[in-house]
Amino acid sequence: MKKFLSIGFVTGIIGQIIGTAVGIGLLAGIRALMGLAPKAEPAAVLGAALGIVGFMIGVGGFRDWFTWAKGEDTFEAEEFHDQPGIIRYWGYSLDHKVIGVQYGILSLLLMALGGTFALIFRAELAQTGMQFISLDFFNTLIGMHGMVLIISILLGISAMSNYLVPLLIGAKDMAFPRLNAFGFWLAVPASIVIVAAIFTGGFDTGWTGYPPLSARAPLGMQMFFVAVFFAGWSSIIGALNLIVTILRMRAQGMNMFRMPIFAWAVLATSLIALTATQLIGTSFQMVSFQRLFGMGFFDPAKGGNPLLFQHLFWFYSHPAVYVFILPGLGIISELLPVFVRKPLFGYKWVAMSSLGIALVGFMVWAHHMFTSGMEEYLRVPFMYSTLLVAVPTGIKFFSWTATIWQGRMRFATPMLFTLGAIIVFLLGGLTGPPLGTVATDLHLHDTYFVVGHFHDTLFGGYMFPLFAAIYFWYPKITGRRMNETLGKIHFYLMTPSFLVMTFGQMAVGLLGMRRRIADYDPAQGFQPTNFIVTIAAFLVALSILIFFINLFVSAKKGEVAKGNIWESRSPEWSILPSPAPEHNYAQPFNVVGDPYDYGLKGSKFVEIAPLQAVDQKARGTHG
Amino acid sequence: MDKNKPMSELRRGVMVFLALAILTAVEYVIGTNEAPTIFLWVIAIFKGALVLVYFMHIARLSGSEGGHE
Amino acid sequence: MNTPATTLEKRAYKIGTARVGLWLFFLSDAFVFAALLVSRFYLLGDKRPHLEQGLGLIVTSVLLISSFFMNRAEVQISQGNRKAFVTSTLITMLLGIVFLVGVVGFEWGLAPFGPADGVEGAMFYMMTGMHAFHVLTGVVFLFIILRNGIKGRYSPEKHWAVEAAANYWHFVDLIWIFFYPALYLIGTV
Repeated sequence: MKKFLSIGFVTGIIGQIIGTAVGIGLLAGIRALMGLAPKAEPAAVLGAALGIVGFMIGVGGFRDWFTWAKGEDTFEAEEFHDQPGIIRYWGYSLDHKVIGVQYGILSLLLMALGGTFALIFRAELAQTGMQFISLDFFNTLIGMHGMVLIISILLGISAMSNYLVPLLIGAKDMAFPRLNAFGFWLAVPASIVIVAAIFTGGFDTGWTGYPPLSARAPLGMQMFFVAVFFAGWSSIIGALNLIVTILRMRAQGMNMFRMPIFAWAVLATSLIALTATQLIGTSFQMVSFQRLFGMGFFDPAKGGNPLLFQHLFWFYSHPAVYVFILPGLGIISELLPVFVRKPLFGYKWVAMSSLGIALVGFMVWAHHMFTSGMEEYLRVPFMYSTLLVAVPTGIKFFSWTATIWQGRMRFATPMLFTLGAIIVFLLGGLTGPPLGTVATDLHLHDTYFVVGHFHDTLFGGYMFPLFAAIYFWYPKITGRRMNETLGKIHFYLMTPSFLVMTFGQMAVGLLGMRRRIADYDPAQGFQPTNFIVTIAAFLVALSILIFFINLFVSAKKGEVAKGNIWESRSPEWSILPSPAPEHNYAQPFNVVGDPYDYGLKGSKFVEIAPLQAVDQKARGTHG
Repeated sequence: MDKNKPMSELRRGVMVFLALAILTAVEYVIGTNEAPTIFLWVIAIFKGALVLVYFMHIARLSGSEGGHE
Repeated sequence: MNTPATTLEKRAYKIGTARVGLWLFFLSDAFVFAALLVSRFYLLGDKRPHLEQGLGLIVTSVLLISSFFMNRAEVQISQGNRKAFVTSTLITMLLGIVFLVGVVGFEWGLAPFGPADGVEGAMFYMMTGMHAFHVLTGVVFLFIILRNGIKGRYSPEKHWAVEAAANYWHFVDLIWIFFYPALYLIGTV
């Protein structure tokens, strides 16, 4: 029992319970002292926020910083050692690889949860009429599906970048290991709070939380706001850490243009996450305060304007889409050369296109608002800036096809998912311009066409590359390979079902079926397509279930991975054993060539540094 | 940072402070009388630049040195 | 391998890294205030809330003077004058508290509207509240470096905590440089 109580996760949960109770008690107490009747909403908000703080105290997130504030020193993160075995994934570890896996586990858990929400309401939509659930619960489910999966994706990106970036650039750890752990653990209580939204009345706005509806939705809305606010901070902290790591911790000789493409993609993503995330936090905070204190930002009766919310919200939420996809596109560029045995075509252009997408991404937000009643003169400029995104994205596609061209392809499971990602993301990209063009968007806005388009981009830009990355780097974590047969079943089941699903969604969308509706008139003729979409959605879920089984079984029973199983030039495969050891590279390496020169005779990317160069490492490696 | 002239840093602080104080006074006069707001923006940006450069030492970002280890 | 020279170099590099992190945090936090500034002009346009002009000038001056002493404190510790550092930091902290009392204690009380009275009130309380929250955290940081400074934990070679706290304080001042005209001066009542 005592051992159980020393696990970081457990003490965190206890801290969250105490914090929540203190928050609720404090507000109830103050109101009682002032002679007022207790009020549920402020107490719940303060409880949720203090609960998250309580979790962070309980898990030990403030301990070292408090020591510093007292003027005492703590051990260096390089001297940190984990408890061996599986238990280390449950505590406050400072090792970037452990934190990466922790991120991954939480992300996959939320993915399963968010997917389950979708299955429930998809079952409801298979037929006209309401069969299983109430209208309110349906609304809550669609909002939860959106936001739980967004948080899952943010965590999944952090998982990939936390685990891979230090390995790829030859760092011992992240720049700020304590901040790194703090950022991860912040997401845990935030996830608990967002799930609590279901049990506190839910909310009926969908994931966007537009006022005026969100200003009078049930209490669950506030839980949603608090959770997103803290999950946003987790994302900001992670992004900050990644930027500093990439700028300051690279191996000797790795100048910016010898960095792996994935590091470029993470840099671009993190720049967006670092800055734009503040706007969704601020906008949600403003709605929350409107509900709590009657501050009328978005209340026309008080001179406010609900359109302001949409501007603030989309200033994050559109670039956020690029946060979701850029790391995935980086994974595609990273894996493709390994499996076609050819240099990546146009390295510099691909690296720059990530930054290009990130920068253009800041100037396109109002294309979500063509029908909102905003100033009409804004429509055309935003249409053009939106279509401009196709240019840097096109560069990536050009590079991929040119890389594949006349390559010697090997169809291992990671490669299958990489190819799937390219095709699905292409479909997502092609269905974008009809939505970014004002004339067609006026018809398509808020229909299932948007849903189909969005799932194409996110599966192509995130899910497929994520699966590719997991199949590819899994041996670095466990020392064993994932089962190829199950992996191939996963791919060949998921890809066609997924395509049927999104094509079906787009088909009903073109006919005018609104997204977020719980029921539709049988006379509209949507029913057969909706039925097929539901079946396809369940098949996608089945394939992901196979993936989960593979994930668990292979950890114990998979084939042992010896050496450089993919014949990759990347240092984590060519130097390190599997699983990767604590603190990564025992001896630093020098970068002496370009990362993707596969098939070029005598070309080298990294070589182990001679011993006397060890001192040089500390001075950093700008160049 | 120049350690041979220990007074120069302190004196520069005084100069920057005086500049900021004068600009704030100008701002107040412009704001309370009817003058174009563009001046207020220009002054605010100028004041912000002074703080960034002289108080926050933004230049230290580019060099790895910066007065102390 | 671990000669004193290399550890010194290593630590200098580490502080450079921490500095990049701190500035990225400023960049991120600046977006919150930028969002509020944009909201103020989107919602209020060229109207400004009816506020006490004299009080506004006083709190602005207080914050400005505090920034002056903050800069002085940092210079003093970098030259090894621990006593002068402690005095300047103490003055900065006290001025910070005066600013908080001025805004939250007086301005919030004197304003002819509450947070729920129209969009002027909402914007005013949100902007000053968010800024005051940052001043409050700045005061906490100042208290920490003051306490450690009295204990003699900082030296000309080793005072990253002072630099970080000072930069944060200047950052909070920087925000007010834009918030003061936006709330008090720009537009007509």
